[in-house]
Amino acid sequence: MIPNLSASGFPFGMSNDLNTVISILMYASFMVLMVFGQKVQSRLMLWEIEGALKRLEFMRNEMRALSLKTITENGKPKEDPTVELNVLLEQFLISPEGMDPSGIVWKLDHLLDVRDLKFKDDIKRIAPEATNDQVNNLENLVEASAGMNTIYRIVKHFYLLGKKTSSFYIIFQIQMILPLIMQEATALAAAGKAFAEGQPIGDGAGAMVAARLMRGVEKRKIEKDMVMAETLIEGRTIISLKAEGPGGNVGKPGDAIRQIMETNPGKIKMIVMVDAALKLEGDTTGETSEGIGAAIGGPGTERYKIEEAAVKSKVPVYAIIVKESIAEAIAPMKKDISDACDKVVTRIKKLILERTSEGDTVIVAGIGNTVGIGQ
Amino acid sequence: MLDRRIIGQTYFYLLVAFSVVVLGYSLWMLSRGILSMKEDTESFYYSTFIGAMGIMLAASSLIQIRRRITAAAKANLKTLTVVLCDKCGFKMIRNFAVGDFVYREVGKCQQCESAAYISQIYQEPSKP
Repeated sequence: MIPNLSASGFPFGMSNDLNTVISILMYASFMVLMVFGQKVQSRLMLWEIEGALKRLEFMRNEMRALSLKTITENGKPKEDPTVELNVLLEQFLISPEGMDPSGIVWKLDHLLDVRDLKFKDDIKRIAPEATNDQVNNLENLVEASAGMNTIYRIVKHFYLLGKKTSSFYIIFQIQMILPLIMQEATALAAAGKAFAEGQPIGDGAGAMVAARLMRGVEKRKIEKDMVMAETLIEGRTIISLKAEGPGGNVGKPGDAIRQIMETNPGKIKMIVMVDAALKLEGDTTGETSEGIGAAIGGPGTERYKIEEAAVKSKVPVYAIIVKESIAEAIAPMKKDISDACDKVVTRIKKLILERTSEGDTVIVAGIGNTVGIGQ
Repeated sequence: MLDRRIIGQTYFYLLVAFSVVVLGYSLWMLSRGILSMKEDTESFYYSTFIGAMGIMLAASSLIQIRRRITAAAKANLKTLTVVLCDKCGFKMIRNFAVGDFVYREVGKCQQCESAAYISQIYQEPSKP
């Protein structure tokens, strides 16, 4: 039954009463918003953060459960690894003091080596029957879990601090970056699954290009967790290198390049570095671009070593990047990124033909996590 | 699983229907208000106010639904493995299996019996 609507559109001649009610409501809401506007806004933002925090807690618990399941399946531990896993999830690294920056790179490099070694040993201890590749994947998986745990703790810290102090600005700063935090957390959760199953991730674009150049030729291990192979392209010797896969690994490309340059004094005419790089919003995923300099992320120690070695021998360093977002870099590899590898190989060949002569030797370094990518 | 999907779909359709009804009523209120602008000022103000509020709420609800659909489509991904034969170019795409990795030799090519290998592993949205 459709109610009898008056000319104003309100049923049963309610317009006059409604007139008064709406007027009172409008004045009241105006006064309330004048006095408590910021409080209301803070409360709304806290609700939003609370919702995100619940999602983050769920993702953190899922990641922890996935880590535990994968450790149990691959490593077949004799005792329950939960306690040791929890210790690993809370592990931290104290950066070296920067008041006297001289030698800080080597200090940081040493700390990172110690951390890596300890982390790997801990994983081997709680997963004694895991193969080397599985240990590398588990290491990455636990690191992703630890990252998720840190994100959750930081957001929770600001949420509780904001609630405790009722400070609009504490709440505001976490609410402002919440979409980016959630985007990264979602990608981290996807990365966890990729590491558990050994699927390639977006960051592995560089490693995949190097693996393509290495295909069908003899490989040998060099420096920590790195492999290299020599091929011939149009009379030039190409030394391709990447982290040893298919386990999750980034290796130490800086040390590897330095070692190759020291064992081939004066022979290396060019270094080409291939890596995944962050795109800006509006850029197309999988688009490639060329530049100058050492294309490598991380804490900066490996880039420093490459730059040092290149400057010492006056060797030009070229970079070819595959554009992708931070979320795409840590999530399982998309088709666009995988397809970009062929374009990069073509670009490398063109660059080598343009910038070197027959008989020259060129290093092509594929940078990135090599999970799910063999050689 | 199937029950959960049916309940989800019913809720989704009810939400869309409710939003569309609110949007329709609000548009009608707005048009009534505008048409009565000269004869009845009071009616104009309140009809326009209610109409505008309704349109905003319905639009907000429909935008939220659209976002959820996009997010759900993005979350529905599958990982594929591409097996390639360099000799004859035969290409086979199958679902990813644990143990697959790029450049792994995976037996002989179905067409020419030469060695086939995994050339790509990637993730893409699964088609409905």
